Amino acid sequence: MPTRLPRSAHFIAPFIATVAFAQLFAPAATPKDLVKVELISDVATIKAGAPFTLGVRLAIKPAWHVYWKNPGDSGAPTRVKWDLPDGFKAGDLQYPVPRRIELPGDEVNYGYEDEVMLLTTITPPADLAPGKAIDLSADVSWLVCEKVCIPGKATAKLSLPCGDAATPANQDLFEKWRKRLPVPAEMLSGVGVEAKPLDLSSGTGKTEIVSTVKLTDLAFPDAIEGLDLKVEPPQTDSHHLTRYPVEARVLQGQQVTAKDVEVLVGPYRVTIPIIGAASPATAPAKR
Amino acid sequence: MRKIVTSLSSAAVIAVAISMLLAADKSSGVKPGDEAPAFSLQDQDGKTVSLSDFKGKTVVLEWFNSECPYVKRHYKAKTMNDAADKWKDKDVVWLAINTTAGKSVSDNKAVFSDWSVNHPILADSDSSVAKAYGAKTTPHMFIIDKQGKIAYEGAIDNDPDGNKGADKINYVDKALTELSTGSSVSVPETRSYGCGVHYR
Repeated sequence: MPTRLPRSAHFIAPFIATVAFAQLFAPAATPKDLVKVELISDVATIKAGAPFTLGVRLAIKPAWHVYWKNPGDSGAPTRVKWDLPDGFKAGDLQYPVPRRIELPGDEVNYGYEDEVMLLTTITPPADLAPGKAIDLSADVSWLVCEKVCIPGKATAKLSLPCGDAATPANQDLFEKWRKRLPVPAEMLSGVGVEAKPLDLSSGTGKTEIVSTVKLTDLAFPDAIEGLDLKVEPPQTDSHHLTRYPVEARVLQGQQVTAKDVEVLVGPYRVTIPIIGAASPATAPAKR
Repeated sequence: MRKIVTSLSSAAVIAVAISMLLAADKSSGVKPGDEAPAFSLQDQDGKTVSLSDFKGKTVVLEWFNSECPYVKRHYKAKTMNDAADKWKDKDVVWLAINTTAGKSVSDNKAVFSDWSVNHPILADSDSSVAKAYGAKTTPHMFIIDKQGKIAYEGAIDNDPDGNKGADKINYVDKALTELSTGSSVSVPETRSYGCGVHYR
């Protein structure tokens, strides 16, 4: 007759197994000092109906990095989900220009080292009673990597009073990070930057970004669903025009629905229109 | 973190033992329809496993790194083991490949046992197979059809954050299902997600 476990063991065994399994997959160490998150406002008091800016500041341990909205060959974007009182509206999350982080094996990541602040414009409702305290909250998630990667998340909170005026605050910090946001290329004075449309009707497409000055060697394309897109190093011709060749390929069996793709040429944001999309590069592989 | 250095010398010995047959001009990786680059690597028991051992079978390659949170999540959810188990009696061979620098056959043996992995973990200690296939992330999945051609390349599923629930599509299972019924793979290429292959 098989040995019978005591009844209590039957009850407890699955729990032991679950705990052991959970420990097995728990990260070896999740140091608290890898990424520190803070929610910061550019106003000390909120005025009804007057937009202000919130910054999610991540302080990153030296040699580690978190990611831009397009992480590159690997990684995951840093994300923010807002939890705001009724009537408050959050605009798009604005990412500063990332750094190019090169890894062994020709892999490239786009991200941030040391520190980054992501900015969002918040529009309060028009009817706020002065004196009332407003609780603002951001659920922030990231992947932080050095040689290993560790996912992290935190909820950053801030409480601000309503007032008759929107009193400025943290101006130096916001100034510093606003300067690092991409600038639309069409706003550059004295510099012409043009992107011809990317025609994907054959499944692959080539175009170029042409600039009257050599802005930078570095280009950061955003990630578009179903599209493999590369920006090649620039070439300057005899007329001093700098051309950044762009090559794109629709992934087999996938469709591109985006109407354009954003490329950062250094700090300048160029929007390349996409035409003739929604056609796979080649027929799916036959058996 | 530097303890890994001690296992580097053994990794170098294994790298020498590996005979690698690289397809010409494939340094930038493979795309669906391409011939699958041949390889011979050691599994967690030191046994040599070659792609040519599986002629006439469908082969799934799963880029693996036991320290990557994405890989951990998929093993915790049994994504890989369940799929390998589901297809094992249907002429499908499932192979994990660990390219992670500094990881050796003995490291693979340890994680094979600790995680109850039900398919071989091959040591690609000199990264040559990762380079031949253009493996970018862990996980990064490749399906090689019975004719030895790449039938699928990309992510395991459409759920990088692991929160899609019922909307999750397992691309590998979908492609294997299509191949098994004699159809062509409807989504042969996706963008893989995860940690970088060469970390550590």
